Amino acid sequence: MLSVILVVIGVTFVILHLSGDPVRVLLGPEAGETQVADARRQFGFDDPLPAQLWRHYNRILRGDFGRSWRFREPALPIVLQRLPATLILTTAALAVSIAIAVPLGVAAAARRGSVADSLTIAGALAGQSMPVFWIGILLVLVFSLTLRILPTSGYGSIRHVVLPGLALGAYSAGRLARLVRAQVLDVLGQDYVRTAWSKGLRPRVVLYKHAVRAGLLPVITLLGLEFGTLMGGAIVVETVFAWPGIGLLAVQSITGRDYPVVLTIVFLMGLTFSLVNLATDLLYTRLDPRIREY
Amino acid sequence: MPRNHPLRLSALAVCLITGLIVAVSMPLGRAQSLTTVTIALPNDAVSMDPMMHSHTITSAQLVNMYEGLVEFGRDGRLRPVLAESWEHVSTTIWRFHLRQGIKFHNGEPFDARSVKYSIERAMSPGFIVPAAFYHRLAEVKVAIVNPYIVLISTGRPFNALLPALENTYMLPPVHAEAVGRDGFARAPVGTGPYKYVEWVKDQRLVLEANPDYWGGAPKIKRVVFRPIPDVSARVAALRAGEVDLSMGIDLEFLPIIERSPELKLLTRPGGPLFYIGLNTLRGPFADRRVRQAANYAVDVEGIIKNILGGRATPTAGLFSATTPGYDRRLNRYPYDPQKAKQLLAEAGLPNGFDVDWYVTYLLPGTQKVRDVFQAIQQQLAQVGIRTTLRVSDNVTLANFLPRGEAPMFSFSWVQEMASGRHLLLLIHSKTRGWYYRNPQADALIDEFLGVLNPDDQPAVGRKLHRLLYDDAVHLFMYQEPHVYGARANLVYDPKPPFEALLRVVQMDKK
Repeated sequence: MLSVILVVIGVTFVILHLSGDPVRVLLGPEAGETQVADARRQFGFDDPLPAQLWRHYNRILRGDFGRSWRFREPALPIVLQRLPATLILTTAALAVSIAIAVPLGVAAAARRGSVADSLTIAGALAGQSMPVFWIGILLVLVFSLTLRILPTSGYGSIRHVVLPGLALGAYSAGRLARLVRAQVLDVLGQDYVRTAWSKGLRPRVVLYKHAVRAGLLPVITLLGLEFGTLMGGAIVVETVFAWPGIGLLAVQSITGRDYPVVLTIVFLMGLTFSLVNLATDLLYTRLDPRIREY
Repeated sequence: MPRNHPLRLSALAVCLITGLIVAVSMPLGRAQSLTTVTIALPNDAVSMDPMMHSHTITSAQLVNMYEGLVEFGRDGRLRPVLAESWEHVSTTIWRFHLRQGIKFHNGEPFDARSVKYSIERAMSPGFIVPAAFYHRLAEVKVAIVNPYIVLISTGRPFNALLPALENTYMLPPVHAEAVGRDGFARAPVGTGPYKYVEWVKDQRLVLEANPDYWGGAPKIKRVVFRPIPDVSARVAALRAGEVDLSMGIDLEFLPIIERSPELKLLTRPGGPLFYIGLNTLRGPFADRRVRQAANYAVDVEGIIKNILGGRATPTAGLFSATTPGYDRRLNRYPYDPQKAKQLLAEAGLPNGFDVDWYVTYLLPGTQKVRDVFQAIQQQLAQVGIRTTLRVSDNVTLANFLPRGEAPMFSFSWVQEMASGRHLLLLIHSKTRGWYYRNPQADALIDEFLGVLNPDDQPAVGRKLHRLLYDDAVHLFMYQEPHVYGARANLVYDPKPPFEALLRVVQMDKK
C-alpha cells in the first residue's frame, strides 16, 4: 500500500514539474525579472528534478508536506480542513446511490424482461450518461429556483448537502443498479437457487435469503472502488455547488500551480482510497464465511 | 415469483429520500437584512495579508479593510486618503503630510512609523506586492521627519511612485511585529471602513463595519464574500436572492439577468485590455508595414459587434481611456483588407506568410476567446497571414514568452492603467524588452513617468500614444468592461470607475 502511494506521488510530482514552474503566475504580471529569479531559487526550482523529488520523499516521511505557495501556509492543515466536507458529500452520495440502486437492481433482476426491468435499465443508462454537472444544474433549477426550498450552493447545514448529495448519488446510482441487477441475475441462474425453488420454498425466501445475500457480496468490493469514482465526481460536484471540499481545492491548486497542496491531496486521496479498499476486503471476510477459512 | 416486494422496497426508498428533502427544506427567508451585503466571487481570497498575494480577486475584497496613502478618484486623478497632502521638496523627494487622529482597528495609532514600516515591508524579500516592483525600480527610501510628516525619495524623478502607493497598504507596526510574518494573515488589521471577523477558506470571508472609521461609519454593517467558482451557480445564487452582487458574469448569462425584474447588470469600463503581441525584433513582424497590415486586416468592430454583443471598446495603442494623454482622435486602424495586402506586398510578402500564434484560453476576464481567436485567424488568412494556433495553458505561456521566440502571441492586461505605469512593463526595453526595443519609446516613457506636475503628463502621453500607434507595436484589439450582476435593490455606483475593486463602503440597499 505504501509503495502504491509513493509511486502515485512520484508520477504526480514529475508530471506537475514537467508542466513548467509556477513562479511567474504566483508573482503576477507586474513582477520584475530579479524577483522571478529570487523566488525560483527560494522554492528550489534550480535543482535537478530527481533531487527535488528525493527531497520531497524525505520530507513526507518526516510528515512535512511543505508550505502552500498560494496561501503561504503549511499545506497539510489546508487539505485536512477540507477533508470532512468531501467525506460528508461522498458518504451522502453513497447512501443515495445505494438507496436507489439496490432495490431497483434487485427488482429488475427478479422481474427480468418486464416493463419495470426495462425502465430500470433505461433509467440507469440515463443516469450514467448525464454529465454530473448537468444533473447538478438541473437540481438547482428545480429545487432552488422553481420550488425555492433549497439553497443553490454553499456549505454549513444539512439542507446544503441535499442537492450535491443527490447529484453525485444519481451519477453513481446508474452504474450500481446495473451491477446489482447483473449480480442477482447471475445468482438466480445457479444450481442452488434452482434447488431452493424445487424444495418448494416461498419466492420471498428464495430471492432474499438465497439470491440477494449471495449476489450482493461482490457488490461490496465494488462499492469500495465506487468510493474512488465518487471522489472523482466530487471534483465536479464541489465546483458546481461551491462545496468547500478537497475536489474544489484540487482544481484551484492545479490551476494556481500550488504543487505542495496538489501533492498533499494526491497523498491523502491515495491513502483514503487504499484504506477504504482494505476495509472492504476485511468486511468481505466477515460476510463471506468461505474466505474466513483460508 | 415475488412480484411486489422489491418494487415496494424501491418505492419506499424514493419516499424516504423525498421525505428527507421535504424535512430539511423549509421555505428560505429570502429577504436579507438591509444592512448586510453578500457578494459572490469566482474565487476565494488567497491571503488576508495584503503583502502576500498578487491576486485581483483578493485585492477586490481586501480594499475594504486596508488603505494606502492615496487612491484614485472618480476622474482618475489621485486623491488623498491617509496622506492629507503632498508636495515636492526636490525632483526626487516628496513630502507627505499624514492625516492625524486615525487609529487602526486594534487601536494602534496611525503615524509616520507605520508608513516607513509598511513601505519597507512591501519591498523586503518574501513578500509579494505588485507595486513593490516599482518601489524597487525607483529605489524608494522613507525618512521620518515627525510623527505626521514623512519624506519619500526616489533614485530618479518617478511619478509612478504615487499610483504605486495606492495599493501599498498601511499596516500597524507594533501589532504586525508582535504576531509575526505568518500571524498577520490570521489577525489582519488595517485602517479601512471594515474590520475582519472571520475567514473560512472556500466558504466565506466576513467583515463588519468599523464604527470609528475616519470617513464616517459605513451604511452597510456586515459584508459576506462567498467564493462560488461555477458561473451558473453564481447566477443561480443571485436569482435565488442568496447574494446581492456577483462578480464574473459570462456573456451567455447576460440575457437572464437583463430579463429578470429582480436583477440588474452593473458594467464599468476598464476591464482587461486584450491584445495580440507581435515580435518586432525578428521574423515577419520585424517589418513595421507587416504589423500595420495585420492591424488593417482584422475587423475589430465586427468582432465586438458579432461575438461580444457590443460589449467592448476598440483600442488604438496601449492606452486606456483613463491613461493620461489618451488621444481620443486616434482611432483604431480601420478594417481595410486591400490596404493590408498592399502593405504586405510593399514589405516583399505579396503571397503572405505562415506564422505560429501562441495563445492560451485562460485569459482572466476575457470573454469568448476561442471564438475571437477563430475570427481573427480567418480574417488574417484572407490577406495572406496564415496562422497556426499553438495553444497552451497560462503557466506554460508565461514561461515561454520571456524567451522572445514567439512571433505572435495573445495576452491580456488586467492591472491598473490609470497611471500609465503598465507601459514600463509592456514596452520599456529595460524592464522586459522581449519583443520590442525602441530607444525613442524608452526615452518617452522615462519622460512620461518623470514628469512631476500631473498637468504636464498628458502632453508627453499623447506623443507616446502616437508613437506606439504608428509603430503598430501590437495587433491592437479591445478593452472589455467589468460586468457584475446585482439584485435590483443594491445601490452601487463605483467611484473610480476603472478598477475591479468592490468598495462596500459605497454600497447601500433599498
